[in-house]
Amino acid sequence: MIKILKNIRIKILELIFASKASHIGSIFSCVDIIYFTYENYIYRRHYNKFILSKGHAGLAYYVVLNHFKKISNKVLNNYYKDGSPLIGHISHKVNGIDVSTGSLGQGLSIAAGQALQKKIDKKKGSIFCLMSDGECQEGSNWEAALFANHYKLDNLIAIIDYNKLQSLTSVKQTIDIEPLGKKWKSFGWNVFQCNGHDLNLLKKQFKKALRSKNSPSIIICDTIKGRGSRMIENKVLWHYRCPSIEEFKIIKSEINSYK
Amino acid sequence: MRDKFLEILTEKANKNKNIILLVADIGFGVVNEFKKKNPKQFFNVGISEQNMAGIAVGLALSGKKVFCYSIANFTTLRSIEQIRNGACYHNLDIKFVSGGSGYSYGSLGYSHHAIEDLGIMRCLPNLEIFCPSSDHEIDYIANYLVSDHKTPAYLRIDKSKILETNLKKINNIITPRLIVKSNKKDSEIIIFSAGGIIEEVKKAVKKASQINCSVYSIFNISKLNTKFVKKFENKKILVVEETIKENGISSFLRENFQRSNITSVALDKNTIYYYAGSQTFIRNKQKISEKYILKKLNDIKNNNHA
Repeated sequence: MIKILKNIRIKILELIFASKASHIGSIFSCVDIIYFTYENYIYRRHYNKFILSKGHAGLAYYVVLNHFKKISNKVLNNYYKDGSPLIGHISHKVNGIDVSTGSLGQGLSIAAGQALQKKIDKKKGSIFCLMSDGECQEGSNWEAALFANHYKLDNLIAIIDYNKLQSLTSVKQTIDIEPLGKKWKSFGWNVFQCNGHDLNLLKKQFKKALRSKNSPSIIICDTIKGRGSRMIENKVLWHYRCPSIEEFKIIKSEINSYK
Repeated sequence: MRDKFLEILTEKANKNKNIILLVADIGFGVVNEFKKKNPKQFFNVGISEQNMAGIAVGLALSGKKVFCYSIANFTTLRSIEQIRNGACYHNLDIKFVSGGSGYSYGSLGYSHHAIEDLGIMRCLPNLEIFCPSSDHEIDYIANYLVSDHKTPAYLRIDKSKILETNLKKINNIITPRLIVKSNKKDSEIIIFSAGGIIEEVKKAVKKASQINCSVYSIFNISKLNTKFVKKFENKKILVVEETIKENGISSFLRENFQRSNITSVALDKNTIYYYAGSQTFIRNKQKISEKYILKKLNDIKNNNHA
């Protein structure tokens, strides 16, 4: 794991600990994807748009925005506290964020609307929409999936943070979404899949998706919930749990020594 | 009223390329003209109202003025959370337009009876609600929404409407319009109503010749002129609405006329109508028709309305 992503995780951990927030597992699962997408496709590329449909990982985006100097340290350090605009679920009242989410299954339709606008106005740029795996259980996504294919929105790229765990147990034991790739393929989407923590592999798949024509693309990213600390990795407990002081110390040390 | 609205929208969209019409597979025969004249501004999203509300957000975020059109309950109740978290939370230029409010689709049954939509939509932030009762009002409101209005709105279009021979002027978007004044004397009872149900009110008022009353069409159910409120404060007010009592037009007026005596002819939310029937027939079965309005007027006159 590169140093930047370790530092971003430590900042996330500190903020969750300080504000007694939750969702550390979900945030660590997709922070690499968010950092990668922002650095390569959003930062200084205002014609592209990003929607975090899994809004409960909003903190990952806030910390990435802070890394790129879009949010001050002062604002960031008030995360989740009384009166702060940095609410738990991502907010459009924060500089650099267009869309608030929090209720799953709504980001993809909005992304499709943005992609449609670019088609109508013949504008360049792509729309990236990061979703969770459990989120695929929301029926509204499949309405958007049909729509995006029908209107050939090849400027729309959905990304799934496929960590295979949701709030109570595994996705498989909750409501199985497999075969996930085949489902999206059958809806007419170009489907790509890779390790969602490997920036080089992400780059390859994103490039393929951006080159695809006539239909929207989806990149299924295989991820580990809680990635960065062995203690919390792949444990459903850490969907909601906020670390104690002892746990905080262990997680921090594990992030620092993570290979 | 629906045809009139689409006629105006078609003409305006031809000049303003930012206007987009989304339909959820509704409007056979009536959206053709819009589609023909503005093909790049028309999208049928299919039978997917939640998606329609989301697509509208994406379009409006990029500067489009979006109209989402479907049957009343589908435009509103089916996608209520998308409307709340999308159009309203982000305060975007999106107009939800529903055809067939109240018992417009009488015989189609309860799934198509739009009687709770107004109350539910009234709870949403930033959203303005318009319920016209005639082509004259829809003309005024449509022009307002297409030009000056840049925030979310809900336009509720009834299948029935009132036909007007002696047209009364609309002063502005926040002042209810006088439809009938029984004589030149001061009115004892002020009646407020919105949408096609006003035709029942007119019939009742005609029969109640012994009672001096005025009928106002309250086509804006979100903002009310304060000067107008002052004028009628302390009057006896009757509200007639083709919606459930809860959070409807009576509630809206109670929030504004705090000192007035307000009574209403409205629907009981627990009295579902399970059978077929025309709009007029069901209004009568559900006790909001001419005869019930007349009875209420007499009760008020005789002070029996407590």
